[in-house]
Amino acid sequence: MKILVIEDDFVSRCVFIEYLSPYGSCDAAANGKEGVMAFKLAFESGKPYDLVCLDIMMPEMDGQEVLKQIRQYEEEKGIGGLAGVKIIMTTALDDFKNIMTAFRHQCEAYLVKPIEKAKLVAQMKTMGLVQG
Amino acid sequence: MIDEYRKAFREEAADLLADLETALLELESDPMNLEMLGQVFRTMHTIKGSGSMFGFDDVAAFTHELETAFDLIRRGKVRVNKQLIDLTLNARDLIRAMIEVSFGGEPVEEARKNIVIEALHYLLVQGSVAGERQPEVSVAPGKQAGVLIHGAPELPGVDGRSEDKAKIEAKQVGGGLKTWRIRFKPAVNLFRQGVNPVLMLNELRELGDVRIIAGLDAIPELQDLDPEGCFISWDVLLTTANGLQSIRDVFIFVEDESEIRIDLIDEFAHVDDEGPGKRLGEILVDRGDLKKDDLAKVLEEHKKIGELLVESGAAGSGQVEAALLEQQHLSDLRKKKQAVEATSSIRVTSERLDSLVNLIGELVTVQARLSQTAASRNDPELLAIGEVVERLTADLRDSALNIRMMPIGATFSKFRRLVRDLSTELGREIELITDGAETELDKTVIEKLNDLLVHLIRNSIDHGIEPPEERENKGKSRSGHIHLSAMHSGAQVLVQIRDDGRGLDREAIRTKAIERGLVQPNAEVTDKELFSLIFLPGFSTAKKVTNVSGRGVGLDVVKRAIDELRGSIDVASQPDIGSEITLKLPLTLAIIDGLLVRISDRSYVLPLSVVRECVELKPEDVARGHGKHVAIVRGEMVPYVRLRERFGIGGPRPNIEQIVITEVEGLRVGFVVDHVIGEHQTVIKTLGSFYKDVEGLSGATILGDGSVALIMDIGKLIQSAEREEVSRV
Repeated sequence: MKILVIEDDFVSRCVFIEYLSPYGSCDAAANGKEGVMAFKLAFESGKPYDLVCLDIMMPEMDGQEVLKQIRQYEEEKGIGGLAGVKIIMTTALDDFKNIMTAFRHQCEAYLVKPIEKAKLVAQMKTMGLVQG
Repeated sequence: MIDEYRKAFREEAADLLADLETALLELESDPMNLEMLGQVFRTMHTIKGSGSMFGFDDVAAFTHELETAFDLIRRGKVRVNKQLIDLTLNARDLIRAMIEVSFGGEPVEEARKNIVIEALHYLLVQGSVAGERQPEVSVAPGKQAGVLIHGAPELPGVDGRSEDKAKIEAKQVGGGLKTWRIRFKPAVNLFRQGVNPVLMLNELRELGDVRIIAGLDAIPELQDLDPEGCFISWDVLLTTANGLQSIRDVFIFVEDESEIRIDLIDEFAHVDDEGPGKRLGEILVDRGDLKKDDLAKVLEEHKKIGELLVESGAAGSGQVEAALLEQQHLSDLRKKKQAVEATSSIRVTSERLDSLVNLIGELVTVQARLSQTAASRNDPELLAIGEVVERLTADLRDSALNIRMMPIGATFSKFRRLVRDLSTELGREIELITDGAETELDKTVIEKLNDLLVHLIRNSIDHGIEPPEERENKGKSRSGHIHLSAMHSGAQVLVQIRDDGRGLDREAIRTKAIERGLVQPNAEVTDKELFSLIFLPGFSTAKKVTNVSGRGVGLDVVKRAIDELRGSIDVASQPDIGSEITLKLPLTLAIIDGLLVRISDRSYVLPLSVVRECVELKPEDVARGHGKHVAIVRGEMVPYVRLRERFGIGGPRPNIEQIVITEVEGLRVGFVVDHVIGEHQTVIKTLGSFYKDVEGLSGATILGDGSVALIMDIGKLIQSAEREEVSRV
């Protein structure tokens, strides 16, 4: 499984990579723009990501915009429905508007920081990314 | 906190489910619509994810089944049919019920959910595209409870990226709207080949949204003109979902000899949200009509670029005009897109809005007092402040009222489901056509309107539209049509329900009216009068009581509700052609423009919308009336009502009185008052339940000096005056 962590905070990034490495190969992007680019590059090289962990508050481009652009890109490529990449929002923002906006833009799950490993893995199981 | 979120989710889900319903109905009428299918899927996905987030696990699990099913449909493995839509609509209602459980709704039985899920399964197997029965679409009970469709090697999961070609192809066919620029420069001998370019342009028009501009720059001077040659070229901007090939096909017979250039200039799906549209110069350079250097040179001067370019000869006037048109076309598209996006917004409870409007009402009153006080003090400084406050208050009031305005479209789309369900129930085939969904109305008016329209549409379906066979016998189309439209008309909104059914049964209404003693057996009654009887309590001509109508409750309720909204209702009908019900409603309930008048020491307000003019009433005019309350205004007789007598106000009359002439439904009636003070915009306060049966008054308002003025209901006043007149005779 290929995982992309898009997160501007260094410590959080390390935590994610530590949590997720047992389940697959992890890449990290430090801001939204970089994240979208990494996603597209992986897709074009024929090795797309299976899971994206996406922060919302980031410089350059915020996570909501990243989410929108990824889904739009997938649509252009004719990928939709259940075939798209699984996206988990991982953010400190827990207001209703942000949550709902993310779901409207087709994220799969929304975890509020601090992220607990158990919850993260449970989400991955629900998505069928991890056998359980 | 979490409760707050659950409440917010309930509202959000209501919106999502409404979207889902609309999309499903759309899909039913156009099963191949991939965009709608995607929409349905995405809405389900959002409901599932956010439902789970806010602790509605049952909703998430149930929606998961639907989502899985629609993913198969999306991928072209299963076809959409009516049963599937029926079932999904049913499932939608179940989701709603499941959410409502947390807010005191009836619990949803497991069995109901299971039935839906099983039926869904059955349909998926049944509906799977013939010839490629997928082993994956099997109803095998799974290891994972709840997940019914699985075991598929290529089901999306870890490696679900082997996308079917079919879908990608389908996407190209049904994909998003694109804008093309087509430059068509026919050969000079085009006409000699017997080709009519107009026909080709018409063909383009059929493909989508088109703007055409003719390039006339190549036409030679008259003396050099060959009348049989074609010197005109065309620039066409086409926004269409069709692909490049279908555009090429239009020019298939002329492409060898003519110059044809087709460029993709804008993909609608990716119109930038921000940033202004392309500049004219950029467009011209882009099109190859202008060199970059020329543009830079011309830009050094400061004039409108279009004029400059033409003057300098760098580009012909036709080319500039075409480019301008292109600019317009693209910016229109952007506006459209923005209009769509504008609906995402902040949610506020309506109580907060109501209290805001109330507060502003008070503010308007106080501001009026301030202005009055300032005027009487004759203090220039205070006057200046008063004026600023007045302007700001007016702005504030307008924007507060604007917040309350909502497009009527959401209400309209609810009716599609209603019409669909009722027509199935009653064995009718009905198409609902809506118009003017963007018309905005005060939220309160829309809420009240909803129930009224339900009544009226039910009525149309039950009484108006005939069963399909009967329609065929009459030589009409099998399916009936109900046309629902809304439009602005001055300070009012007209909402119209028109059907092409059998129309009102004039004779039956007449018989019934005679039976009930409402009409004399030999009286001549106009259609208008007769049709208005159907709004009386207990008046129904339906022969049998059905689930839908015939109990005689309904239309009188409609009439009363419309009266409460200060609106009016009109019926027109022709046998076998159909009937048309028009509701006239005020834009807002909170504020009216009024004419302030004075009788003795009391103030009254007449709604300005019905006031036509004010004239003086002198003693000699009264004498000329010979005891009749009729004034002659520019040769026309106008009956008048003395409000002083009507309201029982004593005291001496001024020598010269004023008549305010009003016009309601084509009838001119004057109202005699002592003085006309002037225009006055008032915030309406209701009179309270004690006075709700008082006829002729619709509310009250507080004036600048703190005194109360009653607002007159002119329509009612005229009616009661008429009744008295009749009884006197």
